[in-house]
This record gives sequence, structure tokens and C-alpha cells, in this order.
Amino acid sequence: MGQVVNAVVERVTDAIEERRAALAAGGTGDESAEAIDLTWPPAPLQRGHLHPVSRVFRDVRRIFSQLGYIAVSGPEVEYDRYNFTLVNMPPGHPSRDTQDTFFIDDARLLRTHTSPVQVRSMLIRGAPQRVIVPGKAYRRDYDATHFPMFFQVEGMCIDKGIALCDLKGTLEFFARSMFGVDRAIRLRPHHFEFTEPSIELDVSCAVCGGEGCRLCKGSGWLELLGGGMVHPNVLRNGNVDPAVYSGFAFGMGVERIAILAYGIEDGRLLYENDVRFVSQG
Amino acid sequence: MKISLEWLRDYAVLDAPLDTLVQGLIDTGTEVEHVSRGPAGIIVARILALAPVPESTKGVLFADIDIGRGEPVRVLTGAANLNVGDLVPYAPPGTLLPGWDEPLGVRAMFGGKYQSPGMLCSAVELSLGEDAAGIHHLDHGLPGAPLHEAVTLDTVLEVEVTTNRPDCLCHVGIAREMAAAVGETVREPDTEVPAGLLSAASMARRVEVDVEDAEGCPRFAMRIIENVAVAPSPEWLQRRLRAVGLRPINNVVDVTNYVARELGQPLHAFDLDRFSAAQGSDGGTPRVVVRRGRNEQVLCLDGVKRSVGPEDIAVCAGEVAVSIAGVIGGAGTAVDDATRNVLLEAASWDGPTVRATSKRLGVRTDASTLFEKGLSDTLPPGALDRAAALIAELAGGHVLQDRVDVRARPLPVIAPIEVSGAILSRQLGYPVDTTEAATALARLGFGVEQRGDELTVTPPHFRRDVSIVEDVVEEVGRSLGYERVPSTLPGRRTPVSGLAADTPVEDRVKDVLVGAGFDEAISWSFVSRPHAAAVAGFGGARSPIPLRNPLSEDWSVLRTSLVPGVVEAVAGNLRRGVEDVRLFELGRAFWEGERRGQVAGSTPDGADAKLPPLPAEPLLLAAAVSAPDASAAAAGIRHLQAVVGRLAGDLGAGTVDTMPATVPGLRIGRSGRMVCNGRDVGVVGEVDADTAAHFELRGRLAVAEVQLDALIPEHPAPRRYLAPPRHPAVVQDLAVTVPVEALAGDALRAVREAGGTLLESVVLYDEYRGENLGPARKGWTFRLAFRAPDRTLTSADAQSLQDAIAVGLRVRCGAEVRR
Repeated sequence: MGQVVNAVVERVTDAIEERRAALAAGGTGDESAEAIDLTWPPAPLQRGHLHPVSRVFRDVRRIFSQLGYIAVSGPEVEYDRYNFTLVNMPPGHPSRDTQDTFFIDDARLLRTHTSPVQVRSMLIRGAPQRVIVPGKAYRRDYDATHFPMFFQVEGMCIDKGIALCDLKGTLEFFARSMFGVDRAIRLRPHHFEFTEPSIELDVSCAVCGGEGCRLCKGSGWLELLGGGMVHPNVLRNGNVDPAVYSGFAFGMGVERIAILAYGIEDGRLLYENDVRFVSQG
Repeated sequence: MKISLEWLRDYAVLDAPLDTLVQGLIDTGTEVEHVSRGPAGIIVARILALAPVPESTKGVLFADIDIGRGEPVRVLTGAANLNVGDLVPYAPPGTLLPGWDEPLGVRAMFGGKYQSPGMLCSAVELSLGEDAAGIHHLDHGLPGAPLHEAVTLDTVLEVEVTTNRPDCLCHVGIAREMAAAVGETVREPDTEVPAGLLSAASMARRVEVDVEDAEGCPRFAMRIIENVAVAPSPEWLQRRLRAVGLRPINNVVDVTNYVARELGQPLHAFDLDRFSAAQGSDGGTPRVVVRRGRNEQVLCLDGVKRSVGPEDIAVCAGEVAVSIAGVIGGAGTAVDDATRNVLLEAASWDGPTVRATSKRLGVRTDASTLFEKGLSDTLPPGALDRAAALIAELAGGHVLQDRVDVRARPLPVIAPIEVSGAILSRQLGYPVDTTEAATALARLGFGVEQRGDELTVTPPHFRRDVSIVEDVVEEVGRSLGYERVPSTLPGRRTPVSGLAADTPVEDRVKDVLVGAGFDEAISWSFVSRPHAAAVAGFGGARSPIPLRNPLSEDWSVLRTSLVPGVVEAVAGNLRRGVEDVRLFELGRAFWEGERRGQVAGSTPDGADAKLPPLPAEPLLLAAAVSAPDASAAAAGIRHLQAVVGRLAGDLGAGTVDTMPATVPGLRIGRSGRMVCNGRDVGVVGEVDADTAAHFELRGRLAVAEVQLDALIPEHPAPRRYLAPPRHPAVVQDLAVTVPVEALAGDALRAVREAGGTLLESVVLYDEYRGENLGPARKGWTFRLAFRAPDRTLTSADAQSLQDAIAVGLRVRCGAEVRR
């Protein structure tokens, strides 16, 4: 008898508990009355957006950090001697003209490239070292494809026995990481004062895959960046002995990478601060 | 620079297909920007009949032409120089003429009454000459045959030569590169003056040369050609000059231009008699003096008077400056139709001096473009002889038997370079065949001696850019082709010291801002003075650094704050119809005189100490929230404060307090300084009406700017995770009244001080104003949470803490507890 009573009590208690729990959860028991339309789009979660240039910087840093590079910086207002003389462009050098420089006074200017950081980084870190230098540079030039302020990433690797093949391999790794593993590269001879030999790097066109199209002007190749083996004079200026160490360096325009990587039709969009453009990212 | 393929073939066997020749140049380092193959698709036509169009008042004709297809074709033409039987070029529909954007079609004329399929072409339309007046006449050709069977059509390359290779700014130079790329060797033109063109007379006593400025003029050579007959150049010479973009003038001037484009050594021709006359009354032997300018005027060939000073080099007739060396000749001594005797100059000028003069005068000529790059001093004699011979050949006359050649400052001879296959292999990264390298160098004009693996390489006289082993490595590398270089990654021997994976502060800050709903802006580092003055942000009263040569007044000074750029960016977006704009920018500003110490990585020689210090470049963050009205702007300010607080916390800087303050450009009563650890780190507030008007800003705008480097502790505290509290908190509300002018920040500081370590948190969550409090008081409610780590607090504990807090509030803020 007692057992039966206990069982009944237990069952009643359970039922009461169940009902209490359902009420506590806000239920009425009639679940269909609470159905919602799950196809109604939710209010989007609001967040802001990085500038495409910042995205490129992050990608470049990520790729080179995998190869053991650290990111360093240098001043944007530089001395003439770091911007030119110490990277092998002494006063009177014809290449100085091609870099339409903004001057502050006889000694100071807005750096025309991130290359002065090559020498500064050598003086700070010596050899061996691997650095990239993401930063701004300035040239007195303004048209559809040139901006008075622009972004570059300089890269430099100094060690014993560094050869041109190491530059080629590093740039190929970068191009494939940035633009896809099926991209081909080619080196073309070029000239920069601070590297010898000097090269320019082309990457196979993303649009046509090398067949030739409007973007690549029919060549199948897109010019991506310049580089070369660090000139012995520049190593010496960085207090690195060229008899012991060698190195390569390269510099790329971030706008160019953004344009190629994100299919941006007009580079000027990068400097208009139009949130309708930036907020797509 | 334009290069004629036909011209190149004078110097090398270049029979490979055009694509191979062009690719060869590109692959070895000469950029080819454009290849113009001349007009394609044009055919020869014979005029069969001509008849006037009855409707035409301007003499338009029907021309029936034979194009070799049996049936004649009828086109319309306005040309007046046609006769039946003439052979003329005909562009059928679909032809793309040089410089046209679209192919030719069938043109409807006279209101659609007549159709003209394609057209007959003038010389200009075919880039064959400058005659635009009539249809070009062909000497021969079969109707229907392609045009190139009737006339020589040239292919013109637009090449871009790097600054280190002035030797390639001419046809022989490009021929050498192209020939080497396809395995051929260049044949340089014979520059010697043939005996038959020489006169027995000597230069001695005919002209005296005095180079006073050896620094500016390493070498100066001259010849005299007598009894010339100045006339138009022959057709071949005119055609070649036109092909490379030069206008034919006369047979003397044209030869100087031709030889410059052939050998890369500019020349200048004086009229010898005018030169003597320019010298003035002394009337003796013409005396050529090379010296610095004396702030005197030279009337130049283009009719413009220019002044030459001590920074320029002048060529003078006696005392009188008649030519600006390396840049532009003078009008008074120029060769024209009346010239009988020519004084020809070929010189080496100091590159930087020519460059400076050309820049200062704003004159860039073919000559200055070459000279400023520093030409070899070995070039003048050959170019001089070549030009003198050509002038005598084309214009008649005789070349005096000798030449004047003053080597005032011989340039250092480039020493031979010792290199080896092993060095080449090591630097390029693949096994280089020494003999193959030697052959490639020889094709480029290098002297090469090979002993086994060793090479002694003597650069040719025109290659002053090659002086070290690395230069030779490049010559070999580019000749053999960089496609042979394997792709490898360098070995990893970098020491770990100084290396650590790190998320840069910039990225962490941007992530916070993006998460808080802000879009990233990038504005220019230069601003206009009025913009800089309108709202100075955290730049404060600092005066911006002016650029010496700004692009425009809008970009004339370096920013001291990012706020003007961000405000302008917001204003632009509002104008474009975007609502609720939230922008941030992270970047550097420039504060003159505030850099402490030298920049890291300065040269150890201390050379920078003599220079004006570089400005400080603080890393600033500016953010802005647009708002339609005052309360939304207030909320925007709060949001910005919250973002900065979050950043300071994330970066480990501690808390940021805002102190009400007057900030130029921001509304009084709605602006303040942000303080962290006793140091000013930023400003926050709402843009005032004047600033809004200055930037043509619609609505209202909350802005903040913080100096991020001030928020990064030198030794950030390591992150710690503590166990959750084991004892419950006692939560109480405390309601007080305070004078209306009381500040929440003061009150919260008082609460925290009085609450001590047992006060876990305090929130000021309600403000109340009402008649019952009177106009001078307002009511505040604090929510206090007390907790002890080691025991459960009693209500008595909590009450005594609350009493202490009430006392603190009364003392600091005049607070009365509401019961």
C-alpha cells in the first residue's frame, strides 16, 4: 500500500514539476502559437571595415612572417642622405630626378621610398637579418595612376651565401601565396641604384591566365615589384661586410597589389575615403 | 625613345621575326613600351576615272579606282592633286589607320545619297610624311598589292632605357643589345672621314679653343667643314628622322641630329662666320671659350632669351656666350640656308651640371637628356668625324684635315674586372658555364680573357656603368636569362634574439575600431593651412611643417593631427548621401622639434648631428561619428570615449579619464582632454559650428584623437586569469542629491577612494532632476557591489562601507543621501 502511495505521489510530483518547468520557460503548452518566421532576415550584425590597403599589409605580413621576417619601420620625414646618398644615389645622380621629391629643407624630405630603412635596419640589426618594412612613401606626382602619398612594402634578407635564386624563390612564394598557387612569375632585368643585379618581377595575369587581355595589355604578364641583390655599397653603408654577407631586397607598391588582388578598377578609389567603397571589405 | 627597326638593320643582322627581336630586348632588360608596325591593310590603287560630285561646292570628286579585283570601286575624295592613272594608297573598310581609335567604315556622304567605302590616304594619314594637303602618290606598285610592296614601311619601337644605360639611347646601342639577345654581333659604323672629303687646310689658325672649365667640360672636340651648300636633306635621312619623331630642318642640322640618334653623342653645329661675327670687333681668329656663365643672356634657338650664371656652362665666342652647354644652342650662331662654313662641336659635359641647368631653365632637349646621364668621354671624336663626313657628303664642301680635341679632364679609365665561373654561379644560384658567359659578354662589347674558370673582363669604353663584380654578374645573368635561375628559399640561420611573432599594435587597434562599427579612412599626410588651423585635434597649438615644394596650397603643410583629414572624409561621405558615418584613421603626424634623440639606425659617423633634427612622428588614432542632432552627437562622444577606454584596457595602459577642457575647433561644454596615468593622451568632443562650416559639414560630428604610442606601456603587464570569486557580493543602491554643477568623474573617484578594496564595482546609472529637488540640485543613484575575497560580507559590513562612501561624497561633491 505504502509503495503504491509513494509511486502515486512521485508521479503527481513529477507532473507538477514538469508543468512548473514549462511555465518557467514561458511556455503555454500550445507550441504552434509561438512559431516564428525563420526566413525573415535578421538585422545584420554591424561592424566597420578595414581599408583595402590595410588588408594587403596584413596579407603581406602574414606571408613573410611565415618565412621568418619581422616588420620594422623608419621615419617618413627622412634625411636626404638616407633616402638617396646611402642607397647609392649621391648628389647629382640622375635617378634623383626621377623620384620627384617633396623637400622640407636642404637636408630633410618626405622619403620617396621605403628603401632608406634598408640601411637603418642594417645599422640596428646587423647581419643576418630578415625584415619587411610596410610604410608610406611620397612623390610629387599626381595623376590617374600616381599619388603623392602611397604605400610600399620593402623586404630585405641578409645572410651568408644569399644568391639571386633565393630572391626568385622568395618572390615566387609570395606571389603564389598572395595571388594563388597557379600563378607563374618571371624576372626581367632592370636597374635600381641600390641593387646589383636588379630585376623586376612579373606575375602571370589573373584575368587571362597568360593568354593576353586588356588588363595585361596583351602580354599575359603584370608587373608586380622591383628588387635585386643588395649593392655592396649599400651593405657597406649599413656596416655589413659585403665580403662575408650578401642579401637581396625588394619593394612593392601596395596599391598595385590591392588593385591586382581585389580587382579594383581605378587606384584613385583607394584615396577617396568613400565608405560605399571601403565597406565592401 | 623611338627606335627605327630599318635603321637598326644598318648595324646588325636582325632577320629574326619582329616578336623575337622585341622579346629579346625585353628579356635582357630594355623595356619596349610600344611597337608601331606602320599602317596595315592598305593596298595600292590606280585611278581609273574622276568626276565631280554634282552636289559638292568644295570640289569633292568621285574616284573610280582599280584595286586588282576586276570591278572598280567608287570612293569620294576631296583631294585636288589626283589625275587618272595615278597610283595611290587605298584604305578599304576595316582598316585601322595609325593613331585612329576605330577601323574605317563605309562613309555616307551628301545626306546619305552617296557611299564611300574606305578612303584614299595622304602621307600624314599613313605616317609616311608630313604632307596632309593631298593624296600620297606612289612611284610604283600593282593595283591590289599591299602597300609595303610599293613603299618602305618602317617598324618603330618605343623603348624605355634605364638611367644607367645612356649608351642605349641611340640606334647603335639598341642594335648591340638586340643583336646580343638573338646571338648576333653589332657592326659599328665607320666614323673615319674619307680622304676624298678632307681638305688640305688645317684647323690651326682657323680657330682657337680654350677650355677654362675642366670640371664642367672633360672633353671638347671641333671640326670645320668649309663651303657647304645648306639644303633639305635627302629623302632617306628625312624619313629616318621623322620615324624617330624628329622634324627635318636642313642637311647640316639633320646630320647632327642623325648622328646623335645613331651614336648617342649629341653634337652642335655653329655657323663659323656668324661665330666670328659674334665675337665682336676684335675680328681675329675665332676663339671658342668654354667657361661658367657670368649672369649673361643667351638668345636660344627657340627664340627665348635665357640667363646663364656660375652654375651653368657656356660656350663663348671670345667673351660672348653664344650657347648653353649641353642644353640648347644660341640663335645668333645657328646654321641656316645662308651658312657656308660649319664649326662642328662634340663635347663631354659634366652630367650633374647639365642636369641642374636643364632643371633650372626648364629646358629638356635631346642633348640634355643624354648629357645629364654622364656620357663617356670616349664618344666625341668618332661622332664628330662621322657627322663631319656626312655633312661634307650631303652638303658638299670639305672637312679640314685635322680636328681640335681638348681633353681638359680625362675621366678615369675603367679597370678590368676579375671574375670567375664560380663567382657567377654562386651569385646567380645555378652552375654558369664560364665559356658561355664569356661569349655573352663579348657580344655586348666587353673585352674578355678566359683562363679556365677565370675571366678578366674589360668593359667597353661606352659602359661607364660597369665597374664591379656585381655589375658583371648582372650582365651575364641577364644575357643568359633569368628563367635559368632556380627558385629557392634561403636557409634559416637567423638568430632568434630580437625575433618574436607579434600582432602589431596597429592591427589590434584597428580590430577594436572595426568591431565598434568604424570604417577605416586613409587621408593625405599633407593638409592645407586653413584645414590645419580649423581643427587641431591632439596636435594642439603646434605649427605644421611646410613643404618647400608642395603640389598645391591644399597640400602645403604636414599634418600635426589626423582630425582635419577625418573630418573632411566624413563631410565628403555625408555629401554623397551616406548616413551615420563612422570613420577612423590610424597614422603618423609630424611634430617639429619634439623628437627625443636620434632615429634608430643612424650612421655611427655622427653626420646627422649637424643637420636639423627630424620631427617626432607620433602614432595617432582619430575617429569620428556623425550625428543628426545634439543628443545623437552626445551619444557619439560617449561611444568614442568607450572605444578609447576599451583600447587603453586592451593595450594594458589602464584607465582613461576625460577632463572637461576647451579644445580649439570643438564645442565649449562638449569637449575635453583624455588623461591616462597622469598624462594627456588625447582629446574628445563635438566639432563646433565654425569648424563644421569650414568643412561644409552637414549635421553634427563627434570626434576623438588619441596618441597611441602614449597608450602602450613600456613593460605591459602579463595577462592573468584569476579564479572566479567564491563568496557572494552584496549589491546596494545609493541615492544622493548633488549640486547641478557636480561632475560624475569627481564623484566616482570619491566613491572608489572611500570604498577601498572591498568595493568591487560602482556604476552611476541614473540622474534625476525634478521640482522636488529644486533648480540647484540633481539626484544620482550609484549601484555599489561589495565583495571580500575570503568571507561573505554581512549587511552590517556593507552598511558601514556605504556610510563611508556617503561621507566621502559629501566632502568631495556636497552630496546629501536621499532616504
